[in-house]
Amino acid sequence: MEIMPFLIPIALIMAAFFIGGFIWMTKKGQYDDLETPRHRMLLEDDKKVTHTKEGEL
Amino acid sequence: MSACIHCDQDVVTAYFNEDSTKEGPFCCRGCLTVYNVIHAKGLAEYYEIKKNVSFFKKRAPVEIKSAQYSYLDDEDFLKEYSYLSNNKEQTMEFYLEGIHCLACLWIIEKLPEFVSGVVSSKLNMSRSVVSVVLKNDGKFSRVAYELENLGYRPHPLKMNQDTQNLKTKEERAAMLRIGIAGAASGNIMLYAVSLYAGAGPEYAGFFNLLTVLFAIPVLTYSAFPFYRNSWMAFKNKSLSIDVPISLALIMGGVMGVYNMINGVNENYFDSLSALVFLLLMSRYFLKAIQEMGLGTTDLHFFYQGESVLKVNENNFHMTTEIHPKFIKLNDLLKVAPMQIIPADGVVVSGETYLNNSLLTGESDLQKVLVNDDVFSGTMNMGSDIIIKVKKINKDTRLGQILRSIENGWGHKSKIIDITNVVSKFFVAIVFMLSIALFIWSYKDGNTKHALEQALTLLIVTCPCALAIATPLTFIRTLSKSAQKGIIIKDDAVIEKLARVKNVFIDKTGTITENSLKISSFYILHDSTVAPHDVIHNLEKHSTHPLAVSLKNYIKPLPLKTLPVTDLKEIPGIGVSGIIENHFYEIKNHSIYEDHKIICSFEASDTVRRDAKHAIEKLREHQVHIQILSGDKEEYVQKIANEVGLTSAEYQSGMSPEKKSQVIKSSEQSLMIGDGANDAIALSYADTGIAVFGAMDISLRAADVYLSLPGLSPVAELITISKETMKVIYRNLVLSLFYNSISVVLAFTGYISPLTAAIIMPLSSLSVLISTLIGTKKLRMIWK
Amino acid sequence: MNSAVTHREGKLERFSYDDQIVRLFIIATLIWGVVAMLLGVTIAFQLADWHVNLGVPWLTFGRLRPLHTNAAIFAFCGNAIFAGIYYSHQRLLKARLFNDTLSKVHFWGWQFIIILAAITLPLGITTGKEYAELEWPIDILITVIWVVFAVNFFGTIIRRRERHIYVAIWFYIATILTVAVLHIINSLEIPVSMTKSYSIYAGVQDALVQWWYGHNAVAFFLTTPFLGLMYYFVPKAANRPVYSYRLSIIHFWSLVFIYIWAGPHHLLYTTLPEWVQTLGMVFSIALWMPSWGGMINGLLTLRGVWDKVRTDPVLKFMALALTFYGMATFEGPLLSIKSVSAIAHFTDWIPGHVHAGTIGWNYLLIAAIMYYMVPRLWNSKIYSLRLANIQFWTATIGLVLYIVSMWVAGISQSLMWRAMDASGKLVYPNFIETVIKIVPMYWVRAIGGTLVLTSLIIMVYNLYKTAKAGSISSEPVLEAYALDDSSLEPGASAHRKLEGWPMIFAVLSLVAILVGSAIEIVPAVLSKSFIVKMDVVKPYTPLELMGRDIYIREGCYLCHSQTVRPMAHEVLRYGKASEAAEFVYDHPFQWGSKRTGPDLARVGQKYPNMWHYRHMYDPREVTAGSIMPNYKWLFTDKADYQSIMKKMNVMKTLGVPYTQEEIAGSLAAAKAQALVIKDDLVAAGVPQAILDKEIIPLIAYLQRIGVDYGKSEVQP
Repeated sequence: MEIMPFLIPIALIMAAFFIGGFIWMTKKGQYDDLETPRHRMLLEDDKKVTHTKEGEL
Repeated sequence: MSACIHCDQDVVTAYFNEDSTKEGPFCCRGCLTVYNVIHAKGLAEYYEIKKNVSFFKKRAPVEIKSAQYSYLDDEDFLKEYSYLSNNKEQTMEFYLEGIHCLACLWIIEKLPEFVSGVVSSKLNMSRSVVSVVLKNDGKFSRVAYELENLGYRPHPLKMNQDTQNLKTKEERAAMLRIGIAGAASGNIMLYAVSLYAGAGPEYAGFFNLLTVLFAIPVLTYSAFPFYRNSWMAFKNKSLSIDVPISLALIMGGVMGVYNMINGVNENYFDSLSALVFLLLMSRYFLKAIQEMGLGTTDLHFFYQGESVLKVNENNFHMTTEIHPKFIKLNDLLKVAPMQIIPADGVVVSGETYLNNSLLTGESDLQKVLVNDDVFSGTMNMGSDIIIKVKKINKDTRLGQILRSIENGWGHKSKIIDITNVVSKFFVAIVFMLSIALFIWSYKDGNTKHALEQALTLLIVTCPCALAIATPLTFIRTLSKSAQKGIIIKDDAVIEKLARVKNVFIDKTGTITENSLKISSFYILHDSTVAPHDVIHNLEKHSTHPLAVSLKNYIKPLPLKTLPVTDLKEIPGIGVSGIIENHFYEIKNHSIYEDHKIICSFEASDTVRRDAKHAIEKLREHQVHIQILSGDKEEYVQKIANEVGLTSAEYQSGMSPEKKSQVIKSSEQSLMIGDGANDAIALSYADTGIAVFGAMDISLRAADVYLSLPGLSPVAELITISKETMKVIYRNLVLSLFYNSISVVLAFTGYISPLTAAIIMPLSSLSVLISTLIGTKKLRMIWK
Repeated sequence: MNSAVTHREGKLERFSYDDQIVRLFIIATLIWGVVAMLLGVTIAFQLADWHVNLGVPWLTFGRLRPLHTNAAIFAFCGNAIFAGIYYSHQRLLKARLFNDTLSKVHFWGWQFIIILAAITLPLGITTGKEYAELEWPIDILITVIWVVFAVNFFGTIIRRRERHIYVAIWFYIATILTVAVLHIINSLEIPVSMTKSYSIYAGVQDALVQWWYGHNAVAFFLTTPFLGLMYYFVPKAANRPVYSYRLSIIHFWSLVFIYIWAGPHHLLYTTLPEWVQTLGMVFSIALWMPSWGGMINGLLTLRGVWDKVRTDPVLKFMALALTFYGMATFEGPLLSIKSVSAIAHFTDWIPGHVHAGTIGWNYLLIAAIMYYMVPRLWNSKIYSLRLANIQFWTATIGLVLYIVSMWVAGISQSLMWRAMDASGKLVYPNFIETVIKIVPMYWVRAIGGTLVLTSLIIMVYNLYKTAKAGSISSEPVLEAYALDDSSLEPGASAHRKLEGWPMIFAVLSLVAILVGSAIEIVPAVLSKSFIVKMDVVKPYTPLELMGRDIYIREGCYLCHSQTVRPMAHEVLRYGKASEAAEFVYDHPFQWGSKRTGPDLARVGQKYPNMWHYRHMYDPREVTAGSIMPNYKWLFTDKADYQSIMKKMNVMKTLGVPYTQEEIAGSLAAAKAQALVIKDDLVAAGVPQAILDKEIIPLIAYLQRIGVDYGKSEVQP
């Protein structure tokens, strides 16, 4: 299975990438507050200047 | 019973909008006011959102205070409490009471639209903290005032960058530890499984190397907390569950690397890293749950108290609002009716009646005149007085109590943390076993092999399941209780409550509602104006507790509003005025028409609706119950009888110190109270429970806070604790069972990384299930 | 950073969402949805009755099946994903899409790709790798459009006005990156002409890469993006916050780390190394946990609005979709347990499982989000709840018919395959017996499929009326505060603008690294690809190579496997179990994944040339009751001898040990071998004219399959 030395580096690169992403997001404070986001997404587009009633809340 | 259309609490006495709409019902005047404010501001959509979002925490009814919060604009206050950005914008954080659902988020983040000067307001729902950014022309007093009127009482939080940053740093570090442990164990699993599955020799070496590389950050960075805790334990000569864990981790690490160097492609990194991951997770969640409860922020603001009015020496009519933190000696302070006296001092103007019950437990009012001493923590029941501050902060009566609370915590009986007790024996036994195993397998003279065997035993018998199970169980109990409005400070409480023997209950404000109720009302003679109309017209503006209870008493009756001339209120005496050419007085529990008594009434404080029931429930736990009250014998006896307690089951006229004496001298004690006079007792008791509406100071002292009115949760809480401990013990047995299996395997030489990789998750999984299943009673309570 | 400071916002900005692009993708979704399902129904009927193949080359099962899968996955689901992502992405980030032109390029580019697919696949232009049949020029186009999508997507993240990146977006990110990687790695091929290329991998390796891709096409094209959409649309529709945000984060990260390794479970009992199979099995089982974590999170979000679920079509479809997701993700791990796979693999159980996912999870969730988006985007109300209701039940009944019939067909056929009597003989030695038995189930499946198609058409009509009743209002203008940290330190506002760049950079670098390592690794793979060698196994002759390309063109691998599993009954039925070394010259591998017809790994020299001749002309001449289509055009179309030398050259560069002489003489050699076969056929009464027709090379190939090792004395 000579394909392995090919797939494993790819595996490692992707792992590294996702770990990197996780660390970066945490340091950026993305996970500081895990309660509000799930509420806020329900209100995202209420600040309409021209209000069309059909739009969500 | 219908629910308040503002706060969704059950309505006892319904209030309705006076205007044409007749909207309602509301549970209290506060909710009604807020409802109207919200509509006035054209924010009615709030109720739309609330209706659609079928999801919110239970919250307590609103009570509006008419504070002006002008102190928020003081220079020196801003210095300490706000953050000034270099484009001249101020940021301040407020802890808000009553945040409970999406609608709150919506309305609060709308602040910029209806409060001038607000640039942004962002709410953190997990902390109930809003951070408001103001243009330099904006005023925080205005913001706070609006928030108050919307029904969210704001408490400014100190913006201490350093501590804040530190906290966030730690939280993020915790998150990173978990994430890295998780990712690494995922990848380790990938290569470990390949090895178990027999990846050819051409890969074995490389894969093994990869597992080692991935394991390094887990065993060093992620596992660091375990090492730190073990070191702590080590230093104060005790043992914690973390010691065997750290031991296993270190041993495993050493062995893995050692094997790799010797070209042996065997290690325990898959099990160990997964273990680190699970442990960190369970602890992270336990912490998260605890902070949802009486978190540090809450206490922080509770102690800050409300703002006070500072009076100008030369002109008593000129007042400025200041934050209690900024009260100085010899300041003149104005204390309005129904306000708590903020500092010890002496009355310089006015006379009034004080309610000492919070401080002493006596329900009788104490009359104070000019030059009388007054103490912080007592409440002004009569009319405005001005006091000169003589003592501040920790020198005050309240301050002294605070200090005794602090050493009260010291005196609290050490809890027997069952898991740590076990781990003590555990480490000892495992050590002995591994030595035994070493000798046993040394028979054939192969030191290296024998050593390996011994180390393996240390690794595989690591009490991971146990270490995960306990926090898991507590997480469940704490969070479920929180949903029921029972906020528990930490998991130790559960263990202590499960063993409770003596329950002590304060009377005023705990068994009783701390408000007077008309118990008897006799009409002795006919009168031109019916007594209830007299009350209605004379007491209209009085805030005196007796007046209030009279007004409540007549509310159901049809009332006529009549013109009153020369209405007088003599503080502490009563009121008088002329209606339809007759002179009416209401004083010392009677109503007089032209100095002739026409009516007399009795007032007594009211027992909480569920008090009797709650006490019966408590009895089912075979505990010894006793009322500890600072109040007079006769009152206490009356209440005791009402709730079905014998004369042996109450003690009256107890000073705060006396109460704590009784508590100290009793075993496995539980104290339930509300006032400052209970604070010391609460802190000395093995467990202290502060009831809804308790004073900030007693909240500090308590371990549990009932965030919803009523006493009945107490008995339930004890049941919950007992059942929770059952689950804990069951998990204990379970995980020990798995460990003994691995011991047997180790001795028979069958243990290998693979068997470990099977046993370890298996044990963790079964304790998890056992935790989720809980017990029959628990399942019923959680329903 | 101090939470107060992180919340510091910049100036109030006005902006609007690009909803037009969403509308376009919605329309495309619906059109291609009908096409894809129509194709599905067609091939379903072709299996039930071979006449439906109509004897037209480009309408035969072998050519339409790839078109059906590609249309369903990349056209129907693809467009739906883009619609849903572009709708939610803008709203979650309070920002208009990065660049309107890029959006348009993305849309039209993608539709162009689909049309190219719709033309090339029926023409038999295919790489012969399942779900990756499109030839190299289209592969490159896909890569380009995908990068356009990525830039547009990440650019929007940089321009966002909401600091927090909601969990749904994380699922989108994982999709974009992983699909890019998978597509590039699996599509590495060397062109022969504009319409023909050979995979750089051979045999076992090609199989592993293909199924690593194949499985993840399911994982990262049909699962992660839809989970992302689920995390946005379910809470919105239910108007409740997602049950647990923490759980959703854990769900995401665990899925990302486990999913990618489940691929090998498609190759259990093949010549793939034992340990790789086990690896695939273990990870597939591990996958069960995060999958159900997600399902539970979704269903618990709906908890408390069950009353609404009964009436609101959006919630109704979501609830059912989540339920089927739970079912499919439970069945999946089950099927990847070796002992279960032994029974289920190669049978109709697998298509059953796949459609439980694609119809039950993807189609139903798409229906839900369409019913959510269309009324909002066209300012209208759902035209008819009753129609939606009818659609719901039609789809459900159709799906249940589909799944159950495939269970029955799969299990009963598998049992017949393995049935052996006391004396150790096969009870059904004749493969066709096992086919005839399950044809009734094929009818049931076809009917089920028709119901599902009907349900879709009902929705298309319902949504059309909905849109017609409404009107596209001018894009509503919104207000939000820009993110701005300028207050942190002087002149830091620039820093904010840059904040997003590490992300884009990381993404692009990832892709770059992968492409780089790919190109770098290719020679390594090629040079080393003969380590497992068996002297008896020789490369194909030029004529056989031509035949093999016809075999691939006609999509034979979609009904015939080419690998004998090491099981008593298979060895009995087909012959020696396959060996890895047999496939070292197979660019691409042709193991297949389904046995509608028998395995062909040992078909070489099993029958005389004439048998194959008659069989290809009309299978029923030699096998009564066969459901295989006729391939009459093979007897009239001339075989392409001209490109043979090119093909040989490419094979050589791929490491097939052809000598220069062999390549130089390839045309002559091919003609010579053709002559031999022709003579043999003529002897049996076939007209001379057959010499230059396609049937000759095909027979040559068929007669060669599995001979070298199969007929040799060499033992494993």
